[in-house]
Amino acid sequence: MELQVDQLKSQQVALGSWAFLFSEIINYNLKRVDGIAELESKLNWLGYRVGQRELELYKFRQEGTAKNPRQHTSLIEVLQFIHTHIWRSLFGKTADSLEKSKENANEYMISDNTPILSRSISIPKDLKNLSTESFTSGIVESVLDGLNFKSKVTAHSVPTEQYPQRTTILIKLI
Amino acid sequence: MAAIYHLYLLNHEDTPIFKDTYTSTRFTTSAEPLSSPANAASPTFNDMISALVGTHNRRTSLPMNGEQGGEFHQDVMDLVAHASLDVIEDVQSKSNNMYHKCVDKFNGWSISAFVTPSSTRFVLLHQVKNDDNIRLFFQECWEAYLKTLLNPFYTSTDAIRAPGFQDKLVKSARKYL
Repeated sequence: MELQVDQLKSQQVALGSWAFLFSEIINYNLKRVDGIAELESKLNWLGYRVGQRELELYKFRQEGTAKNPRQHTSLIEVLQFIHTHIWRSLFGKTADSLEKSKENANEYMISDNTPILSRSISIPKDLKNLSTESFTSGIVESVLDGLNFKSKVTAHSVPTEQYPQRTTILIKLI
Repeated sequence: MAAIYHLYLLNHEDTPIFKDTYTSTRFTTSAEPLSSPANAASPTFNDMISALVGTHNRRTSLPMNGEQGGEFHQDVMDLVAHASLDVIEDVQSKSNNMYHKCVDKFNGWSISAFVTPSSTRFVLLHQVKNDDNIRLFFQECWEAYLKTLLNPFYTSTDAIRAPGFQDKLVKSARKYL
């Protein structure tokens, strides 16, 4: 309660320690689930908890002392906020693209060419469909939820020649 | 006469997670006669309350012009605070402010609200007009709530039981309200 909110603002966590922690999380959960879908939903839930806190903390740092604290209301504003601000504060860079799906009007996609969280994760052949970026999709889902846009968010890896780890976060509004 | 404030915290699922009552002597209710005795004694109002919470319950009788203090009608206040949630949701969808002053009025009580980014609502029932200080009070509430939320052992659906949180709010209430 006594710690200042801004005190740890510029602190960063070493990527190596994150990679170790994250791989242990995945290993631990892998032994306790029945399938890929369940593992992904567990990662999603862990991300959700992170996202809730990140949203609140980020906004407080931005608006905490403002005379008239503001809230995002339009969907585009919120998506751009996630794409730029949330991404930058969590991963140190903005996401690479933000698109609207051509097939469905209620779907949006955020893509990252080199997702930092799963940089050191390689997926074995028998778990081909697993995307460890479900963690990130959980973060996105909770931010949208918090700002009153109920949605279902999933992560899909779409490797290209240039970026083998390219991941798309698919946002489906409900 | 001391001014009374009722504070309610509700999470994004409308579950109450914290409530408290503060009294302050800084502003007197007589200086700002928001609650008129005629209004409080109006039979339709009392009928309504007894219809809602039952006539046998002595605590439902409202204090005339606040003379009995806040303890006697806590359940009515709970009801009023929760009834205002619809109005708050309405106002919230129309404006992009987090702080909404006097969104609702009920029998001399005004209701101000603060909505945090993750849709946690702070609802304050008050009798005196004190907008700026209430805003500052809400800001300190937000900070205290944020710090509670950052605790990894706390999930946003739990009630807040940390004594540190309550102390912090009591201090802020003393400072601003």
